[in-house]
Amino acid sequence: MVKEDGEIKELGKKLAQNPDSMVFVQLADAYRRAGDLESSVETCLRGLERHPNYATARVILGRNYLDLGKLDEAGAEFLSIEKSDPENILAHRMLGQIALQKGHFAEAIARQQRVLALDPDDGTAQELLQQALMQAKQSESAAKGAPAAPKAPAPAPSAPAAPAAPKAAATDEQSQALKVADIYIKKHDFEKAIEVVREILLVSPDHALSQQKLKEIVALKVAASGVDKQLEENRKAEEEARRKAEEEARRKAEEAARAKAEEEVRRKAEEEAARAKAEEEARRKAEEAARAKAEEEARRKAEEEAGRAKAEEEARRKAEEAARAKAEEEAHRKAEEEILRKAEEETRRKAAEEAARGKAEEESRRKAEEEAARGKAEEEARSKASKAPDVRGRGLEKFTQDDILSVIAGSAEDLIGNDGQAAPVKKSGASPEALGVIEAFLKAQAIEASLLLDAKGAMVDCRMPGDPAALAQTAAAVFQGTERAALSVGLGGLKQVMIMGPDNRQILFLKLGAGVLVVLTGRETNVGLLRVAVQDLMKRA
Amino acid sequence: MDFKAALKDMVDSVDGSIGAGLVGLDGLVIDQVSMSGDFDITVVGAEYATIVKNSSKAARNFGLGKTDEIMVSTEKATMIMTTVGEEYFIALALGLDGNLGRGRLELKKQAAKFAQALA
Repeated sequence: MVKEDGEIKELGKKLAQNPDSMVFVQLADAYRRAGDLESSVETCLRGLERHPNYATARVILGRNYLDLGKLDEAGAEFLSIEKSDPENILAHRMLGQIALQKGHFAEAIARQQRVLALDPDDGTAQELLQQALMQAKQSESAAKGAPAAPKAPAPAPSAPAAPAAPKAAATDEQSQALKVADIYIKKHDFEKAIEVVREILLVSPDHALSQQKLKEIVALKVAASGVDKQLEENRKAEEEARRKAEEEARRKAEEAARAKAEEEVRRKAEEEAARAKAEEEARRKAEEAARAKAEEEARRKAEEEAGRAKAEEEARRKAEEAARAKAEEEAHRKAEEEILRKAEEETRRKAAEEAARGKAEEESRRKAEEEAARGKAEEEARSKASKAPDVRGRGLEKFTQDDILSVIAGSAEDLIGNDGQAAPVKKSGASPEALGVIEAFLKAQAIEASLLLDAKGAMVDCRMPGDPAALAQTAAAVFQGTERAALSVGLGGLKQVMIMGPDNRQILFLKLGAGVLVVLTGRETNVGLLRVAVQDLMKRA
Repeated sequence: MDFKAALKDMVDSVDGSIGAGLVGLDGLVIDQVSMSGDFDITVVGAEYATIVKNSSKAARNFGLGKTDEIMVSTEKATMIMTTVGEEYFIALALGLDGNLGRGRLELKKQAAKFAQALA
């Protein structure tokens, strides 16, 4: 009992934790074994509300109703089982037993025959069949009024049932013993019940009531054994189902876990692959960037190298040009120095000649002065008497050296006169050295022809072939036009114009004071010496 | 031919150059290069063209014959001009410290190239 109480508590706790659980069947069975049929019925009813097709629960419930004497309720439960399982042996047996207790012998016989048809070796069914047949016969005899066979006891109820009228009167002790057996029966302790009844029969072997009780107990034991067997089978099936369900659940859980793990592994693998790919991409990009940078650097260096090489080449070229120009300049300078040296030598030579000639000229000049003093009166008289002849067109040799010097010094107007008339020649008082230079220039430079213009471009002297007026006009146009252009462009006052032609011949326009000297050099003219002489002449002028 | 580039080369290669120009004898400046703001041959191209023409006339009248080169010396500079064909001339202006010999040489070289290009 203690064991059953503990089992009931344990099963009740499980059911409370999970009301949907099928453990209610075990709890109902435990209640039944403990003799608490009402609690067993209540447990079955609550469980069947959730699991209406649970056959084992209906078997226990039917047994409970049967033990409680509720034959109709018990029959309803076993009919429900039969409906869902027409070949359920237990249902047929119990329905047969109920029919026997109700006195429905035909049905009881049919049910037991059906059981035997399903299981010919079923001893309980054979026993119950005989009992049903016998009672049916007795019932038939009683109905006919014939002397009946000894009345068989009523089928033993699952609960202690009132025994049928015993053939022999039982003693109080036997009656008391039978009540004890009923108590054992009620507690489903059939062995003890049988033992108690056998003790009665040992004393009174013919005690019919005890014999009948023994049969009932045996029948109940067999029935209980079948129920227990069915319950055990159901329990095993349920256990197997639960085990399978748990196995399935576990398998599914494992599969789910495995799938999840695989998914996780796959996800990690994908992440790893993605990360590896990203790293690869980043590495590739970094390499490309590095390569591009290196290429850019190489290109830049190449460009710098090329630029540097070009600059060096340019610098080298310029240096070479500078060196060449310097060499040319040096050569030019040396040539000029050589020319200057020769010119100075020539000048010194001529100066010496001039010095020798100077004495004679001094003598001439003295005589000329005397002559001039003597002719002054005559000159004055001539100038008053008539106009002076036009000096234009006269040859240079007709002027004295002082006349030429006066022109060069800007006194051409004095020579020519503002009115274009010849003016008296003024003596400049130029030094003999200056006169010598001019004369030397005019005579010594191998000049083919010369032209002397005054400040207005008028002809003073012409030693050129051709029309003097036209030559003067051309020369004046060139010089004045050039001077105007030079001033316009901001190059300052004009000093000289040189027109170079073939055969090393040149036309020089030299500005000497207010006048212009135009000379045409010859093929034999030393241009270098001429330039030196011109510079010297211009300096002196 | 890139006249301006050629003029620039000439100016760059002669020390003391202050400018150069290619001018038609009608006075119109075809191209010029100036290394100094003071030199602008465009302004006086016509007058220099007249100088060249008058110089040529003078050369003929004075019995010199053909004009190869004209050199004008002023207080501030020296201008060398040479004809290019029958219709153009090149002018190169040098400062007082300019390399006259180099200027004449470069002018002669460029004149030949210009003459070929303008022929």
